[in-house]
Amino acid sequence: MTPPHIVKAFDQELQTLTSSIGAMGDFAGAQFSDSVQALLRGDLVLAQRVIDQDRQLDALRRDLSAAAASVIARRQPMATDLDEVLSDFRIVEELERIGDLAKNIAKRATAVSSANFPLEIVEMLERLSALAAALLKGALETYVTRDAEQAIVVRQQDEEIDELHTSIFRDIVSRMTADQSQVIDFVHLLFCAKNIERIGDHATHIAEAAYFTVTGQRPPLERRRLDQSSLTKSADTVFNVE
Amino acid sequence: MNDLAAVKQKNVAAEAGSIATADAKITARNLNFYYGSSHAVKGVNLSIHNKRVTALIGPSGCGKSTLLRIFNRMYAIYPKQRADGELLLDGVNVLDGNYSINRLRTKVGMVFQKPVPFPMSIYDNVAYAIRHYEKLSRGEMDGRVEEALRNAALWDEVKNKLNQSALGLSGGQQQRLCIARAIALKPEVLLLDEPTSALDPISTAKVEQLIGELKTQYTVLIVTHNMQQAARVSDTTGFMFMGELIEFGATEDMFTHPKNQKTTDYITGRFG
Repeated sequence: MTPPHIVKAFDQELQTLTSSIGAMGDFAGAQFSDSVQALLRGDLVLAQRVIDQDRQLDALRRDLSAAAASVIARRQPMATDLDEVLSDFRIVEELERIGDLAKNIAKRATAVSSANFPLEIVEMLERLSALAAALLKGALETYVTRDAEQAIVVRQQDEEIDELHTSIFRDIVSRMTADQSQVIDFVHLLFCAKNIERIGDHATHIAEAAYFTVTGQRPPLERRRLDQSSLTKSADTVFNVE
Repeated sequence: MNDLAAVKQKNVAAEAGSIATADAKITARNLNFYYGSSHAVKGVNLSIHNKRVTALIGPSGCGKSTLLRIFNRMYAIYPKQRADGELLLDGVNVLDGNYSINRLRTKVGMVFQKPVPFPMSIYDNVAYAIRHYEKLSRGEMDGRVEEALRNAALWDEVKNKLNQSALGLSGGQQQRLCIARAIALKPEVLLLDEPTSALDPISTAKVEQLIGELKTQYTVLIVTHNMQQAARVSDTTGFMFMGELIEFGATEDMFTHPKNQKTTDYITGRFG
């Protein structure tokens, strides 16, 4: 157990920063979930709310980065404290990017006709977003609770997201080939699936930052990258069409 | 020299090389210091790199200033104080009673926490120690005084008032004068015992800049309570606690990822 600082205000500032970043993470997670719901249910009001609320995430990023910079300027953190503040900066940036991706999903929700989405695609996207949301939640928990072991476990969840994203990508591309009347909707869905996969990557970075906060080290092994969508060739998809 | 003597000399040189790590100016081996019965420095082993800045940090009473003062046998005038173990300067044990204290102090200069200019002119403050050791002509002495003041980054500020009293200088200038006085003897090692603790931030920055310049010519050891200063000016840092050298290593590592939990607790302000 790390002993407290002699200057109690230093501990309070670091704890306030952690809990504020945790709250920002919850907000980013809610924006993400709402954006996917807006997309798959065709809820334009919800989509607009996600778009409007992104400004709040941007403001949180500015405020929390300023708070972390203030800790550096006034407390000159060293060693484990420096690791912690550097991780705080990184996590704030990751959360802001998650917010941007959620906003992009919400924008696309306003441009598509969700009623025409194939049920299989909807179910796969729901599954993909549930996995990414769980990864984000788990990563934030390891950060707030300073659990380095769990951070390693959590980051492995990205493998499943990568694999599922590759499947979704191939499925959508196959359908685009078969039914060109919906090609615009399918292009939007491809981008949305990619956004969700990227949110999984940002959540993974948060788990890695949480690990760094505790240990001062990068996680021991490079995680496997299983998203093959960018390597997909036409032959990988056209024969899957039913 | 016959073959046997040559081999013997080679072996002695090899042994010295193994005692002191490569490029070590000073090496301490099982170094202890006692104030009477109080054991103030306990079994310290370290190697101080030539022409680098080494900082010693630690809480008050940890033994860091005591350790610094062993390096020029400052304790020699106090009968109840003694050091044992080995302290090698260029491979020669300076704790050996046969090692002349005068010789040691021309090789190892020291500057203290509070600037102590002598109550004489700026010029004479610098010339004073030189006169004690060397007979120089007026012209040679002028040259040495100017060189020392230039190396202490003070020349431009005092060149037009060399005959004025040193007591009229600011605190920061006085401290740089003390550094000039120490380097006037062309020492090899410079010991700085909290050299900026009595100075304002601007004067502190000037002394820190000077330390960076001095290391091109001297091996510098600095004791400081200011951890940020140790982080800024030193290449190597030692953390002392209760007379023991707890951790000694590259400054960059010490202040980012120290190996010892006590070091972490101290530099992050969790001590106590």
